[in-house]
Amino acid sequence: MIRDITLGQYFPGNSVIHKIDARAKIIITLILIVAVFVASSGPAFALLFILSLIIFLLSRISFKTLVKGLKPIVFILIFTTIFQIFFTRTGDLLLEWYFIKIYSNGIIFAVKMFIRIIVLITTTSVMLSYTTSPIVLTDGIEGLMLPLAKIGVPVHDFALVMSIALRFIPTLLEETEKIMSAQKARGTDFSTGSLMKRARALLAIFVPLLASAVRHAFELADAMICRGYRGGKGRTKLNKMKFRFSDFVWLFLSAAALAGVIVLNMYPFDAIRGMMGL
Amino acid sequence: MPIIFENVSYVYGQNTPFEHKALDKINLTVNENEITGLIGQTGCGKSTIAQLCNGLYKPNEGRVTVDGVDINADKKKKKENFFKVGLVFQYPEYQLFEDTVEHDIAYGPKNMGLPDDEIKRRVMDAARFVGLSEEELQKSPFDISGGQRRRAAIAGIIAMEPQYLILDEPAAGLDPQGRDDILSKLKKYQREKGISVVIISHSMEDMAKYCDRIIVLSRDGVYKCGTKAEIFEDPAALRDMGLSVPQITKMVYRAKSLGVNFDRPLYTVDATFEDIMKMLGGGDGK
Repeated sequence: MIRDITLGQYFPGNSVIHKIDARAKIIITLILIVAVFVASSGPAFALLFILSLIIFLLSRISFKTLVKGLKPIVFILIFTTIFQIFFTRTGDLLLEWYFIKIYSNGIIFAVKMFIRIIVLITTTSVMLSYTTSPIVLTDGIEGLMLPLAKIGVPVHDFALVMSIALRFIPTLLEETEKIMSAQKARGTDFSTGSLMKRARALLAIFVPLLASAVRHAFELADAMICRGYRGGKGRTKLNKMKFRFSDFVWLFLSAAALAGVIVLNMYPFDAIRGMMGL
Repeated sequence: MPIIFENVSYVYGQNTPFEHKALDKINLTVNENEITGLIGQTGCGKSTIAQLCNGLYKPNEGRVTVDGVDINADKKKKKENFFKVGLVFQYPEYQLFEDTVEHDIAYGPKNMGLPDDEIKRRVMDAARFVGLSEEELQKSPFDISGGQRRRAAIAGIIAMEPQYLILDEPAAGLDPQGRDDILSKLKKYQREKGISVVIISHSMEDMAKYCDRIIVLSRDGVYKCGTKAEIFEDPAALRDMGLSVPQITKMVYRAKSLGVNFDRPLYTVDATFEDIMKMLGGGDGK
């Protein structure tokens, strides 16, 4: 069923992560992405891994959902890991079997790459897609890009186009499903037959879908004009975004994490010893 | 043999946060050779029932049988069910896509793999029934009026000559004349062909005028199933479900409470008019 595809993947909720201001979320995500790519030592990776685990637990997203979200990248994950293992030629030689040589650094790089990708995907999806509704997210992007409006970038129009597109994804999906059902009820077969036959079957969906998309566009334009839409100038918002104290705390925490990663990179083991007072 | 629902449950979006149980252990029967009306508040699962009838949806629990055969038992026969139980969706005019109305009506029969002359005969038959002219058949479906488009879409299903015809709000959004026109044509079609028709509607007036039997659906399942007299005898219970009896029946009840004697239950304006004329001594109302 088309409806089962969670586009935008937003899961409504009321967790601590859900409540963070969208702008703060975008910045936090960017900081964490930088941190993931800066990290090179084992302790730095451990720190990031623990951090992403905490974010995941706080968001109250089910583990099943997270794994489902990771599915599309499993292939990339396996591929890069294997490449790292087999094609790294530094460190101690651990195993030799015909032409296959596995070195210690290969294993280390592979594990790092693995953690890097997992942490990257988990934090971005938990922080942004799973816990932020698409509309709020566009609002956040608009808010962050607002300074660009001063140099003539049509920030508001971009944001509007984006939110309209997002807004109509579920509508069009629903419509596609309806049209598909209606054509199926007339005996259309989407899955068997020659390529030509199947292409023709798809035509029975695309023509009505395109017609209804155009209809929606005109209706929306009329409705906007009727309600006095004149572009972004002087327009106020119904839900004004507000930075709260907790948002600053989150920003500070993520900056601290980045700093921590840099410190742990430079003094991987000394730092831990120092922290533990050894 | 009729369409029978046995303990049918249907859940939308199972195992997602948007899970929603549309039907919970429903039992109902659509009799042969009559018009069944399916009525109920918005969101009580009428459209879901329509799509369970021809196998577009598969029940999560229970079974749906048509002519004694479980329609979900054999996957290979799915297509046959679509042709046996014709389903006209809500606002079916938005599914038209061919270059001419004629080709669009022929789309279903063509998918059945019928010979060309048989397709032609069925298209002409269906067009005649819904009242589309030869000239309109050659036009693009995007160039005719909304009412005609609705007719063309219904003709597209009728042309498959199904034994059961299910229509989800066939008259929604049409003007009063268009409503009466389409519904009376459907009734005429049913009487002529002797098939079974299910009409889903919100309008008690339409139900009273065109249906032989009515199924009332509430949020908790099938509330009542029976003739007009059985359904409309308890207006208070219908009102509790957000439904009502036809306006004219309301008026008759009111008049009765004021001491006017009607000797039969009345559900349509025509019949009531007749009775009033009789009472006034005007004979048969002419």
